[in-house]
Amino acid sequence: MTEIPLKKHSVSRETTRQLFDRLPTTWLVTAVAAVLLGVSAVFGGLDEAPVEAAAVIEAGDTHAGSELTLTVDQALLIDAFPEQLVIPQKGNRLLVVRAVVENTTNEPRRLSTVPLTSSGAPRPQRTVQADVLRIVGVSGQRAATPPTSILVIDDGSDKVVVQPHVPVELAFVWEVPQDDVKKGDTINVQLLDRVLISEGELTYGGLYGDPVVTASLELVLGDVGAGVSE
Amino acid sequence: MSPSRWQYLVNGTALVAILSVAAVVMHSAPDRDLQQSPIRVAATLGEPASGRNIHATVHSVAVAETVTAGNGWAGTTAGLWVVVDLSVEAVVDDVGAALGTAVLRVGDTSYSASTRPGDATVAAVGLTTGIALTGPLMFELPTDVVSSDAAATASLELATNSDPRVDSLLVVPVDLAALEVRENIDVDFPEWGVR
Repeated sequence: MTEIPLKKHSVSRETTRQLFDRLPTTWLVTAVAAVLLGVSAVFGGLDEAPVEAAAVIEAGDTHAGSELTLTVDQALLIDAFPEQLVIPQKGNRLLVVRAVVENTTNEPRRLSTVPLTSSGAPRPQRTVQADVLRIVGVSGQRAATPPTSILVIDDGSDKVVVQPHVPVELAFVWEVPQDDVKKGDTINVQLLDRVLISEGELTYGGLYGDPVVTASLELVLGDVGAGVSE
Repeated sequence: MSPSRWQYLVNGTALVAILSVAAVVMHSAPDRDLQQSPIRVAATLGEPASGRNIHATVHSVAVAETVTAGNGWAGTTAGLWVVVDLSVEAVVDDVGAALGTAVLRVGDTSYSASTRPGDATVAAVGLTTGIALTGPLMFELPTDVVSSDAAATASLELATNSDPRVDSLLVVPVDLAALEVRENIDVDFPEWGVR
């Protein structure tokens, strides 16, 4: 065994050590935090974060999102789409927003909706959130409600898959109380973009964050009564 | 006793050796995409092909501006319809065996078989073990894709699940560029048996 020689400390070092031991922990923590904050301030960490306002567009304007290009041109009220079995609860009518959607990615994109339970409340989400369009400022609707169904206008099919670079005209449908929402009301339509967080490391496929609003527009509601959407 | 210089040398060499082996393993082991990739089964047009739980024969491929399906559906598109006629059946198990993957791949872009025709297409239809279902698949493609360079080497991919990873994927090469664009095609309603 080799002897480990005892280190000899100088007197001044001993005193510093004792002073340090008596320092309250909160002071230490505060000092470290202050230093970190100071360093981040030097690199611009305390500057105001820029918040990009969502663009305000007009009806009929084409808005290019990261994956979908949307042209919203019309919003109207209709009693029901009986042939597509889209029939509102008693006392409700359908609010339809018409939009042309083009998928600019290179794979098909399924547009999903939030189906309602029999009581009219949105069913709990199990899969992807509706993430293309939502309406704001319609009475009887919770803020920013996703559509209850999406139909292809051409043939009324309700499982919408937007194929790459094939624009398709869609009807986004919400149920609204007939007494509160009338022809001539102004509604606000928000166009959403989904944000890729990363390709999953443990899971397969991309991970997406909450949809963000990238543009909004105001539409005046029309009314076509019982049918004929043109 | 302190370790001798030789022991340091041996330990160091062993450490470097282990690290080198680990590096070789890490860089040569199949990555996740390869581990999970579908098992591709090469098939040809007109010939039957079999995978684990799918057996299919692609009879014909056509391109048209409009399609009239067996249930009267005649949806329009801003592009063109590629209509594939095929027979398909499950092989070992029909539980959960739907034709979930019916994808036309042109270059690096994929198009899924349209479900717009409803029950007049075999897309997403449940398969039956040993009994073929013959019917059409309709694909909605942009007009310019059919005449693009990649159209000659397009491929049709079929599998019994919407997620074909680690399962058979039948791949049928299709030359879309060689097909003339027809004005209208009438297709039959899906029926049992091979036509």
